Amino acid sequence: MATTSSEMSRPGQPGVEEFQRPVRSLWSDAWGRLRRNKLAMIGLFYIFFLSLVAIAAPVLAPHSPARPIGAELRERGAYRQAAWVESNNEKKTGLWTYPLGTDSGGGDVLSRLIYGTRVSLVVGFIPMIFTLLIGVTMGLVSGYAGGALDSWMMRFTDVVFALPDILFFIIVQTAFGKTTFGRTFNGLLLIFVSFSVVSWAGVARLVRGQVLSLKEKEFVEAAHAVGVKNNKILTRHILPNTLAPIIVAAAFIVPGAIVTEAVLSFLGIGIQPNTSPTNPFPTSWGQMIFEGKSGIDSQPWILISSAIAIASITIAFVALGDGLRDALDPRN
Amino acid sequence: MIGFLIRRILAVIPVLFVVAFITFFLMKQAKGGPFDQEKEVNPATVKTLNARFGLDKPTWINTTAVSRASDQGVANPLTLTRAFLDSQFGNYIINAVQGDLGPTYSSKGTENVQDVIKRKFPISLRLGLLAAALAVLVGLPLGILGALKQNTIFDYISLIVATIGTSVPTFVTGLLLTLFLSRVFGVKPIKPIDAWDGYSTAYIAPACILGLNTMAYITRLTRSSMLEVKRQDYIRTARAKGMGDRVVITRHMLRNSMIPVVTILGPAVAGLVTGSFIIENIFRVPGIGDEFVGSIGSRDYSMIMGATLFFALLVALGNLTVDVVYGFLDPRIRSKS
Amino acid sequence: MRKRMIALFALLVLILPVLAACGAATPTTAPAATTAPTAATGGEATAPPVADAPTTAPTDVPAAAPTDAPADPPTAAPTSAGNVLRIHQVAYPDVFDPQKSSYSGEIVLLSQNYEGLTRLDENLETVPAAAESWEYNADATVITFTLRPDLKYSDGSPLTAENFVYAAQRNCDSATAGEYQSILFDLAGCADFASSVVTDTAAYDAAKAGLGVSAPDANTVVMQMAQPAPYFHTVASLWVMYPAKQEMIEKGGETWWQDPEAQIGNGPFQFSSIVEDQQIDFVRNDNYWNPAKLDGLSFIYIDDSSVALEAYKSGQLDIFSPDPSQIPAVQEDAELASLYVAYEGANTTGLQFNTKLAPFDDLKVREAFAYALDRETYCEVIRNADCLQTLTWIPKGIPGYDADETRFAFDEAAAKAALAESSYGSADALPEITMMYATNDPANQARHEFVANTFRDVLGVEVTLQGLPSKDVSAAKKDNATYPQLSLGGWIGDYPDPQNWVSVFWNSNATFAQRQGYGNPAADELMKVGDTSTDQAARIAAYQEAQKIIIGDLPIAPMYNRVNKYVINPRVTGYAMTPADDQFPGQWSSTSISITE
Repeated sequence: MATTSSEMSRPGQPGVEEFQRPVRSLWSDAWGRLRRNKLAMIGLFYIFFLSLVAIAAPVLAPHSPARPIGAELRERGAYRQAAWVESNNEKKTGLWTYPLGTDSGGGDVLSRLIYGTRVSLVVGFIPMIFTLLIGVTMGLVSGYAGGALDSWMMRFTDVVFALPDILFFIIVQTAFGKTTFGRTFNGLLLIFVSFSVVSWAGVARLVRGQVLSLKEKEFVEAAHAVGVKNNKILTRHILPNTLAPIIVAAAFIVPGAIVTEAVLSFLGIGIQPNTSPTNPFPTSWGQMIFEGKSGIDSQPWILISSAIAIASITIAFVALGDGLRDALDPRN
Repeated sequence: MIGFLIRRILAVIPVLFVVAFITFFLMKQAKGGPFDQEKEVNPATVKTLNARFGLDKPTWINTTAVSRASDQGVANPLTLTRAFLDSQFGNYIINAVQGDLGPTYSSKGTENVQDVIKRKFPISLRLGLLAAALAVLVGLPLGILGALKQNTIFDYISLIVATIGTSVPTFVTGLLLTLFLSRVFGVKPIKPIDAWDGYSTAYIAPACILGLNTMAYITRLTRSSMLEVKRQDYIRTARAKGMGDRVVITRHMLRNSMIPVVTILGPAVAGLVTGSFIIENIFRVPGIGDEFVGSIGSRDYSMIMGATLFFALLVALGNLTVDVVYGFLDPRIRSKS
Repeated sequence: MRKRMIALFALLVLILPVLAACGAATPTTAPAATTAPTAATGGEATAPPVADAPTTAPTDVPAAAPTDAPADPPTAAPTSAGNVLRIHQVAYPDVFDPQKSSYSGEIVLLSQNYEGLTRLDENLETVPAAAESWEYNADATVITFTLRPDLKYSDGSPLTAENFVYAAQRNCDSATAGEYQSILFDLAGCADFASSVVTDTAAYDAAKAGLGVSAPDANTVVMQMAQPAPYFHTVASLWVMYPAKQEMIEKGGETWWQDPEAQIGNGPFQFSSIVEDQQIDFVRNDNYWNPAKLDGLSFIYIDDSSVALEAYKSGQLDIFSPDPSQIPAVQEDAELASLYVAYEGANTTGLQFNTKLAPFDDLKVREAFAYALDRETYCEVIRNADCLQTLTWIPKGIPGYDADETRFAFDEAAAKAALAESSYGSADALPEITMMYATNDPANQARHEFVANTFRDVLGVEVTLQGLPSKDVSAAKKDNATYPQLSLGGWIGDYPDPQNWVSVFWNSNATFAQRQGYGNPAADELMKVGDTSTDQAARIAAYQEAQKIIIGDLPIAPMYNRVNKYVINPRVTGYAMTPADDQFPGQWSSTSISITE
């Protein structure tokens, strides 16, 4: 019967002291198990590395991610090949100044790839937080309250499950893409919200299941018996015990959100362009795939580099998620 | 059992209604209509077209029709209700219940949505079934091998395949594969005209890519459930009784570790059949998914509504099979609900 | 346990047929797919390569529409083509019914199968076709066509004046509601008939009877105009006047056009097979008065331009239309580069201003933006030489083209000066400016970023880009209230007469001009001369004069004409390239094309 560290700071709570030792060892054991999982640690390290790249993009990128005009554009050329590719056209032949070549508007592919890291990370983490907030709240309330409320909420999750999610994203993008709401943060907000609206249901069911079983446990009954209020039981006793599966779920939501952004951008309905040189999110990997696919015959490296970037970040998150699950589930 | 089945099937109806409502509402938020062409269309022509498709009616409820009817002295509540529902949404639902999903706009009303689905869905279905078959045929052995030869090279291969397969989005693998096939092997792109009419080699590449995620998932599931079964007492008992390895594996382990795999097949097949738009788009498969993406761009309301409802129905049925299979396998669930 | 076994067994029963079918079907496929079977090599996703900035003309082709499965078993794709020209097409057409079609990909099919009263020759002159001659009355309000004697449809049945009367009637009929109804609105009574209500039988019949088209005898078609229209013999060449057979249309219902047997035509070729989303074949019509040299045509639909390029390289196509993004790849390939042709097209795109909204209600601001455009770099680098820069409205090759227009060429100093002279005085004083574009084509973002970056760097003006699906852009541009401040757009000619370019677009009572808030009485006056005069030289001079006024007023800053570009197999000869081609070279005089082995 584990409770969490949040309770350890309150030793005065009834029924807590005797559980202190197993508590500490659960989390530190988990960390120990995670550390021994090579794949997960590589994933974690790679995510950490990408976060640094995202923050330090202006320092790392060899050029501005913006597309040039005039003389600079003529010098760079559109669809210049990657550095190691020779072309009979001197304007298209690869140069080490532009290691991965240039795109259809003369943008430096490597610089844009570096800046694209930002969108992927933001688009992965923020919807994950939204999703957890909605899903955990719904699951807790539904599972704890039970009865008619529970059954209505579960019917509602049925509806959400039946919505074909990619279709839903596309329809939402088409419906709200041009409104002020749809344009906030280059359209990122709309992606966050529509993703969360579809994916909370899974979390809610997971949490509800946990709550249903926890509700019957002795420590909850004990808390009831000594007169602890419902909301306190929920936040102090039940929620902390559902944390482990929530953390695992979170690790899998992130790559899901990243892929969603990429798919939407691939269909041409992802983030909005913003040409301001100070804009921190000039492009995304999904958008580079979208543009790269149409330029595949003239400059294949736009597509190849951005596809590899997406593939590697999702592998990293899934490896980490697997590691977390193994680490947090003592049965394995 | 029958009562349980009926209850679960009836529960699908309100779900579909709400899905229809949400989709209709969202589509109405989009400003462009099906007749917004780049070239100007004469307003009188647009008016005629709108009337033909019922787009001149109010969106949700028709109060003017009700008051007109009651002014004319109609008192029959059925007639009045019908007049009240003589709206775009009301008519849509009433016709949809009768199996008529309405004419598509892009065919200028010459073809109905259900006909398009009838014509194009078999292609998506074939693709989805092939992908599912592939997922099972490769995923199962890989998972079994991984579990039986735990911590050997087979296990690592199955783990790596499973990790890459579940994590890399299919559209990325699809794009890279097409690039690779054409650059390295110079695959001839034009297929014979009837390539998509029956099962043919044309389906192999898209089906492989489409099935990749599910295959990896089945590998993981099989591996972990095999490992779980391996630890069970009855396996130990069987071995203690002196049963051979082969018998233990086939009679006891395989059979029991298969159950979680069977239960996910329903939604997995539904997911593969409905989730193939991006793959259809990349591999130019003329299926219902590709049609759907196109219909959103052209604001073909009836096609969007029809396809969403149809997909929602499939997904709901997929989820239903899980419940039913569970109920079948575990009597406790049946009696509880 | 037994129940579990039953479940497993049931599952096997479900899966087995799939596997069986899979195994059985594999050997039946064509030998072409021996290496590895794949359709796509990656390429453009949804946007047709012609889709550009939102032009007001039908450049954007919507998703392929569903049509019925072919009635006949499909013929195999021609791998050795013989004397059949195999033409690459991007988007499968929605509807190819003469009185309902509106996109150039639909019209190109109809124009092979049918012929109007007149047609366009290789110089885009209007020449006799089904009609051997025509005559206007003195004020160009009545036009009388005389048909060639003994005209026949491809099935040998006679083609008479009544068939053309039916075409005009069907086009103006409100029951037809084709998107190009209004192109015949010069015809007396056509506008009334188009807005009549079908259910109001009396009024509908009266409107039908009031239509100013008649056939006094089997060889004569008389058309009564609502106002003088000295260009109407050119309108009579358009697809809306193609004489599809009434009995076929009535027998086949709404989908009559999907059946090649029902599309009995009077053109140089005849539909022989229609396989949706794949291929449409034609055979030569030997009853045509000027028999074609080719045995047939095959339109092969491949919307992924990368796949089409591969198909061309492997000898499966004779004519390939590259996407702009493929031009560098084509030019890097020595063989393809030598077979690549590019020539001007009858289209103009420019920077369209909403002159009703600040700051573009100020001519000096419009001048500043017009001067700032580096059209040459845009065409050469951003569009990969997919276009030629222009400073005027009517494109080269169309009567009324003004080669001497030099105003508002790229000039940074003049741009800055014009902005300083404007009522705003400086970039900081300008209100927020938003530029709208369609996101369907992946290349559009880079193109518009170039334009926005230009205004920032040259003028110091920050322009916000708003990318929307093309349907939303069309909808926004259709409504005076939502017409964007800035957008790229223009016109693709319907027929090569300056009236279609100047009056249809810029007359102060034309919807296009009104949306941009444009109207100039002096230009209107000149257009009136052009629209009514029967002296061709005087007409063209009047339109050119009007064009000069329009360019000076700058409701649009013309930027470029997109080129027609094809890779053509050297065995194809005899094609007459015209600016009006936009599906294949020589499409308006396909009888002269031949294939030499």
